[in-house]
Amino acid sequence: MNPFRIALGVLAIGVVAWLGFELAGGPSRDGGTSSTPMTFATSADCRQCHAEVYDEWAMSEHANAWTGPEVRLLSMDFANQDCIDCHAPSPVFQSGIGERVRPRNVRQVEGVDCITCHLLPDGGVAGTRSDPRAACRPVARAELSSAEHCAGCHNQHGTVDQWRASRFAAQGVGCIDCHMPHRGGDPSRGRSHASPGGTDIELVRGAIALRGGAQDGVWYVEVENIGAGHSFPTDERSRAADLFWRPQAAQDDAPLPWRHLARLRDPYRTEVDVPTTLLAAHETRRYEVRSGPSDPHRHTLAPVGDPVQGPIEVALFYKRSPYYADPAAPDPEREARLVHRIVLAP
Amino acid sequence: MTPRTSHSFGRWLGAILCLLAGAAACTPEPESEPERSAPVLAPVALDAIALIEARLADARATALPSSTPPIPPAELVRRMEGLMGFATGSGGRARDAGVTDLVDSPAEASAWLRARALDEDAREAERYLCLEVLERRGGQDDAEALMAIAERARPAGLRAGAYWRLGRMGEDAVLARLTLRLKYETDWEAVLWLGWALCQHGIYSGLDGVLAVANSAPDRDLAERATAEAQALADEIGAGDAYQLANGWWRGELPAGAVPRVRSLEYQLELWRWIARFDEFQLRGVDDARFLLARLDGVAADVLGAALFDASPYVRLGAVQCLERMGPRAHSAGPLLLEHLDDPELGPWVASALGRIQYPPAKEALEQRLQPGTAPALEVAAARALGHLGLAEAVPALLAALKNVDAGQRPELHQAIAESLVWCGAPAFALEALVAALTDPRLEPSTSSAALRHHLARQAAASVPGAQDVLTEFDALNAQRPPAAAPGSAAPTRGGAAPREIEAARAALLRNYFDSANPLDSAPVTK
Repeated sequence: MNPFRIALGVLAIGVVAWLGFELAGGPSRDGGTSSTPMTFATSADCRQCHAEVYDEWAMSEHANAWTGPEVRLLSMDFANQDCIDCHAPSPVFQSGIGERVRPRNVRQVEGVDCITCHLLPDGGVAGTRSDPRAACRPVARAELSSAEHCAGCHNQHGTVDQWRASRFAAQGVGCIDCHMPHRGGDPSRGRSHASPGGTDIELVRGAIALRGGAQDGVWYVEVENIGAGHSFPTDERSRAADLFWRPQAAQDDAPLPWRHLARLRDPYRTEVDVPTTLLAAHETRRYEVRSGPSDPHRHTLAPVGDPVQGPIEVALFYKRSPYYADPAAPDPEREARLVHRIVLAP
Repeated sequence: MTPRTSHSFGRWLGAILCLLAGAAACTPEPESEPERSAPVLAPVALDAIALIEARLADARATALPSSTPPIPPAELVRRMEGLMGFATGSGGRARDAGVTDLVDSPAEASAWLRARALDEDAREAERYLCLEVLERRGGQDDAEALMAIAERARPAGLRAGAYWRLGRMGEDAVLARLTLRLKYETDWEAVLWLGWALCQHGIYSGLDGVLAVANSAPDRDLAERATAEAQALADEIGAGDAYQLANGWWRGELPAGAVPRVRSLEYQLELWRWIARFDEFQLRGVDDARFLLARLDGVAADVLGAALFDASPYVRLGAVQCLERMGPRAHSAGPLLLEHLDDPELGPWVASALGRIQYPPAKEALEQRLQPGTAPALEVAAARALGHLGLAEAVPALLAALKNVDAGQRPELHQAIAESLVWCGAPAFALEALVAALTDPRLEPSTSSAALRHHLARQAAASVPGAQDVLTEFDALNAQRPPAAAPGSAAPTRGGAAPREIEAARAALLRNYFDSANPLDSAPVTK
């Protein structure tokens, strides 16, 4: 064989190998000088190299899982130890993918942190790609982006099962496609670790549609789960969505109080007489607008009373704590967040 | 089987057999830390369930056949309807005769009585009579029927009646489910009789329910009734008052009048079935199991001790958590817990449990886990556990550990040691660190807050100038916080001061106090 060809072949292989390594691993964040991988005692250690990711996470509900005022109240500062399992979990890879998470007794204030999702049982770090030159020596683990990875906590209320039953699962649209989107829609920028969910009202607005009309002289409202890959609301039973209506006020008049129409929620176990009214993925539910009373805490299924005449406003509100200060006269504008508002006029 | 295997295997098997024999707390208590080797694990819960079920099956096979011959279902229904109508439509001796016939009905009648009591379309008099008949029949099936009514019946008065009658029956197989009702019962009167019923069976966790009614029921007549019932429960066993009895129960110190109960095989089977639920994926059942097992008696502590050797990490963890939550009542599990102290995952929870159950023989082992080379999570847990033990003898080891730890690198360990120094009576070396911990975002502030409050309370009790005022102000800061929204309540969860803000205010208060007063034994010492 021609020695020139051999040399060219060796060079080509070398270039391809180098390119492959660079493309797979990317630039070394420690300059490739460390001989041993970092060990991680706290998620703050990750910030040295992953500042953007860390800062996104630090503003997320995952980071708030231990310190958020609502969970502090509801758990009585975690005197209710049953909350610890999911609010300060041990690494998911340690409990086992798809298995129930187990609690940890250190770094609890970090809540659901970097270590929870990325630390491997051998002390290594799971990533979406392997990088032997990075400080943490990430090892590619496909489970990291699977729904099963989230299931240990998020299937405790059936969210992952709801997704499995949806068309999204069959289409290969998983949890991270909505809750860890590519930054700016650009895959090369990696995925956001802000993990938007119910706290991101824009995400909620995009997932749920509200429309209405009249049939046989009776106003109706339809709420459709168009984009959530699970029921709406989902996860914690404290989360609730409420439909309210009110006669549209004349132009210069003050708006009238909102009147409750229907509620979407999974009740607490103690609420034995209250039905589950979650809106499943892809489901559309229609309610007639009637003048009868409706108690948000009882999860009205079928509005009662006479059909309403004249133009009306209808609004969908979302709230993360289930109860209104005065269920007989709820004030959703103060106690909940507006998702959609429509006007129905003859 | 190796000697090590037979040792550990024998421990849990021995514990099960011991329990089956009806003996309490068979585990010997060593004077000091036993020589430990890694415990050998087995499907303990499933084995125990199979063992007990086999024994119960044997007992049933050898039991005398019922003296009442079975009757066809249609005939049973016809007879029960007739008797029920007669008994509820009659008075005096005629009613008594009808009720007696209902009581003497064949075994299958329990299911009919249960269904009728739960039938919301049935007449109220019939539904309540079902409760009476079930109690007087007195069998296990009847207790099961009453339990089902207690779990599901509406209106709440029926549940209250079912609880009361279960308290008067001798059956203990339903006690685990009855205890779980403390978590779910929402009617004040029903809670009163639920708590009362549990106390009748020697489960004084129920007293918490009675006292909650006494203190918080909006109906003052009911609250007074609860107060009287609580006092009567205390009087029955020679406790000074209901609060002493409740505290004594959780400390594992019941008065001599409280006779230990010998529990049935059915009771133990129920405990094992709940323990097996620790292995479920859904936390709902796990939470329920943790709730009820931690509120049962010493038999549960022994069973949980045996479950520490289960092959499932979830069962082992659940068992440790329950023992921890039982507190000093689970003291007998101390030696078994010690065997798991070096379990890489379970160890920290074991250390915590050893502190919470107040097991002083664990002191030496816990101190050893403060040495360099210990897993960080275990080190922190061991430091905290020494504080829960509260032994002055642990102060030298804690001080040595405080000296060695780098507060910048290991803030949680530093905080845990400092807190434990307060609980062990050496606050001078810890106060500055604890005040700083209240505002350190890397640390959970509530544990430091509790330790500091303990210190203030001790100073107030010793009449240290200014201490009582600071303690009052310290407590008053909690009032800035809105109440948690309980299911069924309309309380909002937003608004008010966040815990961090409360702790920051406390830190400012204490800094001012320590700087200005510099009271006895509180001088901050910088390492």
